[in-house]
Amino acid sequence: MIRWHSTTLWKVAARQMLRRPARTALTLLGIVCGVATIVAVTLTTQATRRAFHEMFATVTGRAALEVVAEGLGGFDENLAAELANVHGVEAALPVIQTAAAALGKSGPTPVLILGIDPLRDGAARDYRMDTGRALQADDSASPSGALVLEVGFARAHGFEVGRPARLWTPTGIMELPVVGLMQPRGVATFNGGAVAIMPLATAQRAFALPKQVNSVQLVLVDGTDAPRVQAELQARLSTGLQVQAPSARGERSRDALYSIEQCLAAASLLTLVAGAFVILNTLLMNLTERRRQLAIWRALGATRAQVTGLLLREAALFGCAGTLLGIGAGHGLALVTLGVMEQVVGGVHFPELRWTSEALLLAVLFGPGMALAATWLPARRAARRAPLEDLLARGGVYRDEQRRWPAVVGAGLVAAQVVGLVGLAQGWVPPTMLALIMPLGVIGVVFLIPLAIPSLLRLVAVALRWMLGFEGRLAMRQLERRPTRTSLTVGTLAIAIFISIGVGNGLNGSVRDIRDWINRVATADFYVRASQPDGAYAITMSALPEKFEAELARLDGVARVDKVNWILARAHEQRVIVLACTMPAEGPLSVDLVEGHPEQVRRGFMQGGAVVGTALAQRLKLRVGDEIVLETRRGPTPLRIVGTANEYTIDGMALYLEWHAARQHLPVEGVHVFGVSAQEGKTAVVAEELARLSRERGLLLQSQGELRRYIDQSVLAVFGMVWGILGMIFVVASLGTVNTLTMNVLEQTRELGMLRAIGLQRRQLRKLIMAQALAVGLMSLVPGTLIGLALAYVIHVFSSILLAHAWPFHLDLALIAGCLAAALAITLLAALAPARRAARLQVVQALQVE
Amino acid sequence: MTGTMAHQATAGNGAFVIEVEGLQKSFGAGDNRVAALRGVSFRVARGEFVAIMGPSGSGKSTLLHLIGGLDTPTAGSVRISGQDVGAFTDDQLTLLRRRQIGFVFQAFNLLDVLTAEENVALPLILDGVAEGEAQRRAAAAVELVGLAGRRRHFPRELSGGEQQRLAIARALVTEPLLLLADEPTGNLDSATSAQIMSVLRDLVDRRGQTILMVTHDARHAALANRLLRLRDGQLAEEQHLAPASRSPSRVLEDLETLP
Repeated sequence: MIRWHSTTLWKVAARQMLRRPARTALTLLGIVCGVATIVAVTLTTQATRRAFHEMFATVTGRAALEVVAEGLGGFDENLAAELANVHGVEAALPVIQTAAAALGKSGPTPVLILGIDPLRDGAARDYRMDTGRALQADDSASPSGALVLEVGFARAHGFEVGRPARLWTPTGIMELPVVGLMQPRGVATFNGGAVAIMPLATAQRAFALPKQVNSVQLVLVDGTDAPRVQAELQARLSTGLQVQAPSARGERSRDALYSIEQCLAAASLLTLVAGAFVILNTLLMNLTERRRQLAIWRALGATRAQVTGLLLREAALFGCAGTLLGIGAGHGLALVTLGVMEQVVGGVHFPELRWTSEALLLAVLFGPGMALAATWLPARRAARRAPLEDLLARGGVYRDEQRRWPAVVGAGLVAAQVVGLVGLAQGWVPPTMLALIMPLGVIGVVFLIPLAIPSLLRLVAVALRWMLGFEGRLAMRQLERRPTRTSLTVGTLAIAIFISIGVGNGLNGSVRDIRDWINRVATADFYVRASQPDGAYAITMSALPEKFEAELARLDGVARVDKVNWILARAHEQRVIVLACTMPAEGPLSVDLVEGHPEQVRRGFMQGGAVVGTALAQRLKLRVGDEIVLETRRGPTPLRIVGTANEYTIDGMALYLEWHAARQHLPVEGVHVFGVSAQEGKTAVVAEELARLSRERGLLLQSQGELRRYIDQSVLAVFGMVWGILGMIFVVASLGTVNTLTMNVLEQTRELGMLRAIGLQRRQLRKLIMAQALAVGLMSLVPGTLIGLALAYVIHVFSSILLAHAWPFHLDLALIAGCLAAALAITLLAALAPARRAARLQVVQALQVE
Repeated sequence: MTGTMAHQATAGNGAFVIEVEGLQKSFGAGDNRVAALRGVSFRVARGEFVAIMGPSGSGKSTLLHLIGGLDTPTAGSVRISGQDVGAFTDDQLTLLRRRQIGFVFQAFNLLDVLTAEENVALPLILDGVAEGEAQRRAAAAVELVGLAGRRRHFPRELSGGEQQRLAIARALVTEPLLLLADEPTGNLDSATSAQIMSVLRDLVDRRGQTILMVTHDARHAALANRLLRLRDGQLAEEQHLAPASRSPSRVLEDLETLP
């Protein structure tokens, strides 16, 4: 029995890899690209989820549970005292936890406010001071209040102990003396230090919550079963209050980032698939080259299992080496991706990347796993060859054997993908399966491409003969002799093309639709706010006082001032965002209406009806005229649906309520953003007035154009990430093409030597190799374009279903042309080195090669 | 002359290493069917050096491949040490080649990713012998063929004669029952060929190795104990070569007298 630790056999595997350093390097790169993208996407996704999860867990310190109201509004502070007597509760701490904007030297900056009882808060949180002092009991009674900041945040924004800090709150600008700066530990690490601690009484004044809190945080007795206490408390609490783990606030982020994560995961899996085909192609080339060598092994007494084991060793080495390099590359890529995500989400500081067992496991699984999976079947087939045939072979070129099973498997995979997509659309299959379903069809298509190769070869042969004459004809011969290798190379290139066309067209369509949506909903000329909200609406939703509306309305040239608040709520056990807003009595609605007549919608809206995002309506299977049940402080409240609208906030899980109607059901505290519309011809005047006001008061001012550009940048940043990963697929495809062309040159060495001997010039030889590359590129264009167009349509239909609104299908011809040109360019570039190698062949030596 | 002639050869202990009975091998089917062997029978005793000669297409190499378990007969039987290898599974044939048969090929067939010593040790490694023990035995085999100073070289760094000596060392390292040599001097010049033949003869004389060798060269055939001549897939002639008659010219004379 073979010993797996036999050093001789591992040496054979390693030396075999080193015999063809260029081919080994190119193949390794294919694995590295695949592993790096998987690792990068996994690390980034984990980091972003962890960021939100840990942020809120950090804030609550040792508190295992918290009680909050629907919409995170205020409730009676005495509840804390009641809950302190519950069995298992060690301490019940009254807290106001909300957002505000600190006015530092660089302008308004979002900050988390914690209003605490200094006497009791130590049960949950520790405050280690760097400078000054922590909050004391006296501070609660002091009319001037007190503020403690994190030292790094304070220094960055110009805050010092002994000097007042100004904050925008729903009641106006509050000036509080800074009494201490915290070390960056525990609660002070929230969102990179953007946290401010004040006495509870101060917070109650600032945030218009007299005798109220918006969170009671519960520290449990050691060993207490938290879920049991949670269930017990929930049963005791009145309607409109709920008990949750503190980290549940971070769950909102998952909704905001979910579609991005799915997109990235699918793109990275596709890169991995492309990498797997490069490995498979390389392996098949190696096996062809080594038939005689493997026959010698068999003649000497190696069993089939031993030969298979030898080849699997090589695959394992490839995989391990690729994984090690891929882990390093993936970490670097993750840093870039995380930076982009920070920009996309906005206002959130993500912690450093942390390697988890899951990320390592994926790297190990996909690196060596992919290599072994691609190797296993070809290795078994190679080991089962009768050794005599290969021992007696006298050089020349082996002809590929064509088998039927790949086409059968390919058809099966494509069918499985179609079923999966239908299941996703119908809701039988959870959306989390999307990333796994997408690669099935891709793999299936590559397996089906061999069926099309004969026709493609004939088609391209005609074109090449016409373009390149004799060299074109010769070029086709090698490709015809190697249908399997040609198929895999064409297939990998075709993957790059059709993914780029299909996904790219889909992305461009989404960008266009988002821009259209913004154009329809962002109707004000200017937007005034305390700070930019984060993409999850979970952290940095600071508010301005509502009375500011009158001041804005009095500015010269202002026609109208509207208000919008984003409130975290629940409906039908679904997390939703409620946009409480005002709407003009006439003129265009500031929603992208899909269902409902505009005037009827306006009337119904003003009467307290809801305009629901189409995706939410579809998820809940509701239509205009139905009722959506919103969880409010008073319990479940049905609201009539007066219209549905295209909505991109949190992937459409949103509904619009009229401002005053929303206030009846949910906490509407301050104003998150004022929309200021100018009178005709007075835009410049209003701009000047608002700029002055913003400078004086420390406000964030954006024109309509600036808002659109800001959203555009975030959207393009996400899509840029996806395009970056799709670009990797092109890189991987080009590696496969270089490998194939180099191998073709090697195999044809004697033949090319003969051609040179009878008078073929070097430049003609180079032309021959370039012709092969061109042929491969042209062959990939046909399936790549056709499947790409089909994929573009499928993605369009699928997106329309998911978002529950349709937009016109548009083929981006520039994109298609660009993808095809890129594919051809990459193929021709990939041919340069092999062509040079062929041209340098020494004739005599080439003729002696077997 | 009949197509088959059985010859009873005796060895010191009466054991036959090879027993071939009515061996047939055909390739292709229907109109394309070609009979490479048409019923060959003979026996080889332990310690014999048997040469096989014949024109191209006479079935020499096919016969060797069948005996060596690289191919399976269409009809007839091959017994190695009394075992009928025709009924062996692929794994059994593989083990036969690994443990009981040593191959020496015309094209050397060394693995160029392994050093000389590693090439020789390979059959032992495949058999699960511990690395240290395999290395020791390989070193001994390399020394036996006079290549101790070249054991760390790769095949591409060795001359043709050295490579073939290395191949012989690899064939011997498992102390096989039988050594099969398929035109071992076919790719070598005359001086080197003489060296190789000397090595083979030495193995028979000093170690009692049983050797079956296919050759085109009468001078090399003359060094064997017995000569089998094939023609058109049949055994045309069998000839004992006494020591005095082991000269190439005598072999040629004998060959010319055959009908």
